[in-house]
Amino acid sequence: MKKLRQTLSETVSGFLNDWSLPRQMAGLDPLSKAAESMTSRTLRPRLEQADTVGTSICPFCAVGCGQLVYAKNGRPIHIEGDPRSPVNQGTLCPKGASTLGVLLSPQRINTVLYRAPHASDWEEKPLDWAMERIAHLTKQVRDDSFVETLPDGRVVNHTIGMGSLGGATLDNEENYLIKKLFGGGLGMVNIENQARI
Amino acid sequence: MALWDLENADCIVVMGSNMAENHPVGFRFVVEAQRRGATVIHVDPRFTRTSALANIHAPIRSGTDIAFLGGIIHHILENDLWFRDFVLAYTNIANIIENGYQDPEETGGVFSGFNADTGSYKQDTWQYKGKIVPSSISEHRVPTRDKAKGGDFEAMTEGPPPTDPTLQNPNCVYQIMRRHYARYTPEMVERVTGCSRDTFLAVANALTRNAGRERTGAFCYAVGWTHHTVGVQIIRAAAIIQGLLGNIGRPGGGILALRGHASIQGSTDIPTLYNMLPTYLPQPNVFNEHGTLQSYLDSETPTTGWWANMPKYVVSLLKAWYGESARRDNEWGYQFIPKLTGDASQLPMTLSMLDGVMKGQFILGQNPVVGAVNSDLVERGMAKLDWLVVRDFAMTETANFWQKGRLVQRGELRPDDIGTEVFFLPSSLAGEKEGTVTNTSRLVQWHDAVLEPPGDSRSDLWFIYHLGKRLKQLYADSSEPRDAGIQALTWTYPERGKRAEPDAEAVLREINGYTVADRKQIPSYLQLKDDGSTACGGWMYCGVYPADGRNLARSRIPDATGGPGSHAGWAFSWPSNRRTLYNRASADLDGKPWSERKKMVWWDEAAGSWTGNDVPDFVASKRPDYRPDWPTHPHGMDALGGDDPFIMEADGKCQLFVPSGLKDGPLPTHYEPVESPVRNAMYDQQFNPAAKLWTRPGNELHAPEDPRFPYVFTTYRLTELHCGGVISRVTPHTAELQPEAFVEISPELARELGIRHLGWTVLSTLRGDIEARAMVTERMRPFRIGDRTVHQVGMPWVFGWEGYTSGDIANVLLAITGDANTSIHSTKAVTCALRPGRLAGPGGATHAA
Amino acid sequence: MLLDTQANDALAAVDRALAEKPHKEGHTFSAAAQSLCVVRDSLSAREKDDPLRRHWLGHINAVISVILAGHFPLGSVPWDEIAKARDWLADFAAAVSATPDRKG
Repeated sequence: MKKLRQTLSETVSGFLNDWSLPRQMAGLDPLSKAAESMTSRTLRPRLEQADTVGTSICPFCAVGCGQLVYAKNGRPIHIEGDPRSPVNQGTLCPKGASTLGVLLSPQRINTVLYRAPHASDWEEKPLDWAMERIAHLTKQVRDDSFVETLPDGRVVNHTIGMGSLGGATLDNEENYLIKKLFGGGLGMVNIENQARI
Repeated sequence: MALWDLENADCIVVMGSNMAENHPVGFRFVVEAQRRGATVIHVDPRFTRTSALANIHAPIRSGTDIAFLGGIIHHILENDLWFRDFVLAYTNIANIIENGYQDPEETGGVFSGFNADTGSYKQDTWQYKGKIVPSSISEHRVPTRDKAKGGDFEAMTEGPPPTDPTLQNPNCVYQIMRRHYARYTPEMVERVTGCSRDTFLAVANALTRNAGRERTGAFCYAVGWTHHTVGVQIIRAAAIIQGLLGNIGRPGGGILALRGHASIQGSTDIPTLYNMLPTYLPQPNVFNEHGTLQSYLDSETPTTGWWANMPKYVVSLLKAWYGESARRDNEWGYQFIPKLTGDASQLPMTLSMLDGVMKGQFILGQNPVVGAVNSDLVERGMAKLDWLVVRDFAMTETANFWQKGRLVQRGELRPDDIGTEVFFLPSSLAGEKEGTVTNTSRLVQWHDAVLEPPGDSRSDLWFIYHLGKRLKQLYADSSEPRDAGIQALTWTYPERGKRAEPDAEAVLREINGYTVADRKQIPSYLQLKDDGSTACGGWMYCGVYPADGRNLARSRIPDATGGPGSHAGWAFSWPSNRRTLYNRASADLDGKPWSERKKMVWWDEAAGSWTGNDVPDFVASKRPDYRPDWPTHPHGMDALGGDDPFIMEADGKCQLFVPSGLKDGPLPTHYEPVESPVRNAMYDQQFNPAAKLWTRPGNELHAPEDPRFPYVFTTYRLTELHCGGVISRVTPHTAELQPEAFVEISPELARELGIRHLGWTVLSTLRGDIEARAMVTERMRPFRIGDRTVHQVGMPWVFGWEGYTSGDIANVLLAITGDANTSIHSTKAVTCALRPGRLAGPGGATHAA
Repeated sequence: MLLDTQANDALAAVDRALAEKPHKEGHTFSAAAQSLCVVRDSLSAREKDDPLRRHWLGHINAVISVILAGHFPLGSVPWDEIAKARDWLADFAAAVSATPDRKG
């Protein structure tokens, strides 16, 4: 009991010593030492924990705000506007400011899901299996739907048996390879993205 | 124009966009311009935060933009408010058009060349007199077929098109425009748009007051302009205003398209689009003269202007794609490129799925069940596919339509009935992958990979590269001619790390281009050749990676305070790191800036070259007084004078009147939306006669003035929720800020129908019914159109059933219809029915309001 | 259903389109595309190693690609091309009917 009382009195006096208000009332600058507490004395900026920082571009609209991505062990710990960018000068809108939340969304899916024809549920599948199956299905539809020439000899070299939708949320390099493989390689013409929406 | 160049504008019109809410950070340049004294105008059916910050809010009924903009053109022409020196020299205002040209004024609302049986136009009466003017995109073009090739018209290489600089000839563009816009009076604007005459004139006066040598104005638009059957023509109307006011190629002047996705500009330039090859080269078409590379180039290459260089870009692209298999003796692999037979855009794709033509579909970071019009039809189409591959980072409505879709919820289909094999492949996000995105100002910016993608998440680069590797392997042993293209395709990119991630920089280097012999990066598209010695995946991006180790998309050097303000050291903007297109127009005919205040580039006589605060968009050494030497039949840029700034056009002029390139008329004309509660007050022709329509079961349209669907319905998105993507609905921070779908209704209409604020409502069209809570707000105002009141309601289209925030899909209500030129769908002005209450069935009670 | 019946159904649908020349209306071409796809799917479901069947599949796919240009035209409907495709389809129907096994 005595010990408890002693601990309590130490806590109280510790608190009084630590409390910033008396120091500020005594006229010390409220933004510097006078504002310090036991807790804040040990606080360090979260960004100091980052082992990597990289430049990114906001993934939402086409304004193209610069972002700085701070990472620790390959995991994001903070994302903020890039103050150097003449586009946004460090600012971000509510969506851009939520980019860390996008990366860390609890609803993010990290495995391949597969729905067999007529099935009522998803099942998890290995990525490699899915890639192989998709490649075979792609080849099958292409081979069944390909038009080399019209019967009068005019060259067509296309398939309208399959299509691809998407690209405005992807990188230029990704779009380039999509058009190159699907169009230039497989002969697909139904290649479209949000730009026409 | 560059986003930051908006600061230099003296007047900004935001129209077809809610910029403050949907491009908030871009809007700071509008606010800055206003702080410096600019007048900011918002023309929009709704009062939004953009309106709140504007000096003038001009409300117009959805779908009447051309009536409003045409009114401004009328105001400029009739009051002689155009920038005479600029317009006479740099536009086609003095050009004389074919005698056979007839205006909608004369024909009850259509142009000459219209064929009522096919609902399409022939463009021959729209040409410059005696000439044929080629355009540059395959789908829209008039081929280059002149007298020398057996055509009836004189080529552009034979002399300048006929003009009348006195503007007296009744068939010159000036006189045609005056007649065409004669009826677009302030009174007519008020009657059609519902915007008061006084407010309209305040807008017109603000624009014209801020034009000329010393002042400039800008337009900002978004999908509020494009999502109509006359979308291209709305933008054209703004282009005419900007041409007449001298607001193109100058500081603070221009038309800024506010695009909605991080690389939607990039995916247009390096297109995942059906009608183009990278950087605006036309996709060949079976029915055109495209049977051989030579005939394709002959018919598609304009003989004059910059596009005369097209063969260099085509052959360099073929070399990039087919490498050693692209040889002179096989037309550089031209036949490997698939040819079109028809429109293969998204709307036809949906119908193709329904008809069983399409068997497989890749969905890469898109969510058509939410984002495409006529959502139920999209579901029905996907239910007929053999297989569907969806790549996204969280579950989307598109990926699980077979389990939770509207058809299943309503009991029309059971999962067991749906044979579609569905793959969901998790994708990595920006921060976890590297590459470039192109922003709305053509700024190509690199982003780094700093994070580990979780689990099996992969970049789309990884997916497409490894799928390509597998397919190349599957086809490796084939001896079929049809498989030669996939066998020839160059597909060697360095792989990195334990995931074998392909090197995005290597892809960017290929897009930039290199010499074939020694594989050196090419610094500029000026060095591209049509002899197979250069390879280039996208000529307009040439210069982004000009030398080994120099990735200019990575450059991060902004201008210091007091610098030129073009930020030339910040990333790379195509073409040639140029920030303002057609900037030759910022100088007068002699090459001097129109004014000190509005200087951008100018002719330096001592140096013998163009110079200034931006990379000049002109042949660097071409003197302002250069004139084509017509007796020599000049080609390409030699056929353009030193005072012809619009170098991508065949005559170097800003096209107030468009002879070639548009499918629905050379001048913007007001037509009502396909679905409208009123008759067209201007012409007998009710809606765009060239609009793309597909009426069929499940896609029925409402007739004009259909009493069952009396209200104008429009859609939009929200600051906190981004497009159809689940991206912001699965993010707790943003989802919490917009917890539920709603429909905005004016207090007047709410009273009329007995709808309470936050009460349930049902919205219906012939395509479907949805329910949403009512947001009764004065942001929506009834319009007085003629002698009647027209109510408008609006709804965010960003909701679906996935994520932390959900609601009915607004796109269920919309029909598949397309812009005549682009096939872009119409979402901004349709008609609907509205009642208080709920839908019957799961999730809805039948009566409780 | 026998392949020649399917082919003749498709031919009738294409003939209907040519007779009616529908204008921005999806029913007629939709019906033609659907019936052509029935033929295509019949052909692709069977043994594809047979050179004749493979040839027919390519032929029918070519017809589909041209008919789709009527449904989704770039500009005006190329009626002359649709008419050619109709004749190619008629050739096919005749060829199927002439084979002993009309399953194709």
